[in-house]
Amino acid sequence: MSSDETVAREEKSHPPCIGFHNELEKIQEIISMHRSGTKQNVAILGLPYSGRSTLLTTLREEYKDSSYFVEYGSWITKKRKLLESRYSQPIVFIDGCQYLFSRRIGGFSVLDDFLEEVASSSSLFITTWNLYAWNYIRRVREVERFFPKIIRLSPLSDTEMRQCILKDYTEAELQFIGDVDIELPSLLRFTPYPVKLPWKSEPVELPLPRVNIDRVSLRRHKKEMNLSDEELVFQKITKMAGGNPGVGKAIWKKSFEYPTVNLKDYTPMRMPDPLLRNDAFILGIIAMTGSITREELEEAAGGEYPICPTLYRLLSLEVIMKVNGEYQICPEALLLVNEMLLKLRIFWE
Amino acid sequence: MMVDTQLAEIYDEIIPLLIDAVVIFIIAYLLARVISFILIRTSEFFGHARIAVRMIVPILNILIYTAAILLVIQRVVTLSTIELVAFSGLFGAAIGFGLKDAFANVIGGVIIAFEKPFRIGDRIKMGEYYGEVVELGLIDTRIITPDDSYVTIPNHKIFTQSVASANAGKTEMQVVVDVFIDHTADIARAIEIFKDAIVTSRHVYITDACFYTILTENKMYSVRLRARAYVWDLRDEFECKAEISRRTKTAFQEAGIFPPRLFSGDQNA
Repeated sequence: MSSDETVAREEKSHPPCIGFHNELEKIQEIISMHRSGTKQNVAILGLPYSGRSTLLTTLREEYKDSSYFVEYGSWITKKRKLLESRYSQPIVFIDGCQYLFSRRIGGFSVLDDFLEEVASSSSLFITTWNLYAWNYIRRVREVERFFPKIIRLSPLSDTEMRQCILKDYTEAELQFIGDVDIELPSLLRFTPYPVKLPWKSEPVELPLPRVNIDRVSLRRHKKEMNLSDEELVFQKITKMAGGNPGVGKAIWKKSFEYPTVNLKDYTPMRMPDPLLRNDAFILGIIAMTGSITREELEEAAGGEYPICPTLYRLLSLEVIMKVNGEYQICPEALLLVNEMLLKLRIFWE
Repeated sequence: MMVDTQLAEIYDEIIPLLIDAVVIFIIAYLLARVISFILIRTSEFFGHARIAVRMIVPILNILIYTAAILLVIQRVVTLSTIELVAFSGLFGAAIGFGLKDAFANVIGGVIIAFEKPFRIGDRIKMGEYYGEVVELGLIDTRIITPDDSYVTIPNHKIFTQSVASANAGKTEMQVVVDVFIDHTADIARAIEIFKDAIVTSRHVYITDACFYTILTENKMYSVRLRARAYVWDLRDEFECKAEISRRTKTAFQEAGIFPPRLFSGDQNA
């Protein structure tokens, strides 16, 4: 089912980009610098469902006269001239670069070609990558040397999550049941801050404590019992989703029965037992690609073990789902999968 | 009358004390076993921090048994200074003559628990044995060898033998995988395939500190490709080597890279 098709999107209406203001500003600045002669290719990194494609589509809309847009939706298997005459545009947006390689013997040749052409092209490449795939491939192919500007998508705030979810509804349609026990987050949060050390080539990320200013007002509101059911619901959804819009929407869908939204009965996912190593590896491959066929998973397993029992177990645990014949992580299981596979070192840092 | 008095003394004083001692040691034993069981089971949920959690077990065991011994001594023996000196002399003589090894084992156990030359979960080589440490006791250390033998090593051996720990308390450990190809084979292509086999292995873990290398060496009848990489869980050491070798061999066959045509008795010669 693998395809080497690259799809240039047609003009059509796209959902508005909610959040990511800092990211947009940074990229706009990089594009202006490119116009004045400084080229720094960009890698936009995010977890699955974090809104990478939405951000890139917004950028494409803004720069449609001077850019070319490519979207990869499945594994690119054949070597091809990636930079043809159509790539003569000064800006090239590429969405889904994790599909340029596959974790198997001989699975990196297309990516090698791509990197070679990125290095030789005068165009500015603005690319999106699945964070897990990026962390893997940077160890294998040092891709960060080709994309010196790395932008990590920040989580949505409660207000942004609300906007993102409610854009398809009218206010009058919904009733909120927010009688849920909200555990307010701590006033301090830790965000990764890249620090350049003289003896290391790549920056080291140190956890930098920041005060949750937004949450100070929420804490005060909570004390005064002023939070409405709607605010409580979106606060809880944002917290459970870790600010990931796709995960937030999935939680919303699970707790929404027209016209009522009820989070009382929603329970976050739990894994009954530790995963077997083979299962964890296959789960990691699915999370790394975003969407993958059974044949590709079999190739990743290298014929070492049957993947049928693994897929059955992961499907029955509702950690993965099958969409159009391809396997994907269930959005509401994403944070659990992230935590589990980081512990098992399936995801590299 | 004298006999009756002695019997009464035994019934009134010694037997209750013995019962107390037995009960204290049984409780200590059960407590140590339960805590060990819970910690070892729980440690599986901690991923790469597994070994750190398991290291608490021997230290807790030592604390529990020391507390039990002190409790028994406090209840059984109330010694004056002269009696204490006499008791110490007798105790020293007993250690010197009969309990020397046992005492050395206990001291060795305490040193292993606190100095940590190796830990539970480490792959160690001590004397002729190599295997994973599964239990650190007060008297002995138990390891499981790759052929599934359960080996008990007295703790006093730490004073007389060197110990090699392959992972030094970490979950990851380095593995070395060798493959041999013919001199006429395309070495560049072979290295490319071998690299891919390593970085795509489900057992390999790569970070700044855990990197992989590939070395080549010309032998008389072959070219040796040697990979050094880190397996992310040392329990997969042998499976990792086997998996990389198998996948490399299959890919070599598909790419027309052949093994050495002529084999000598010793490939390392």
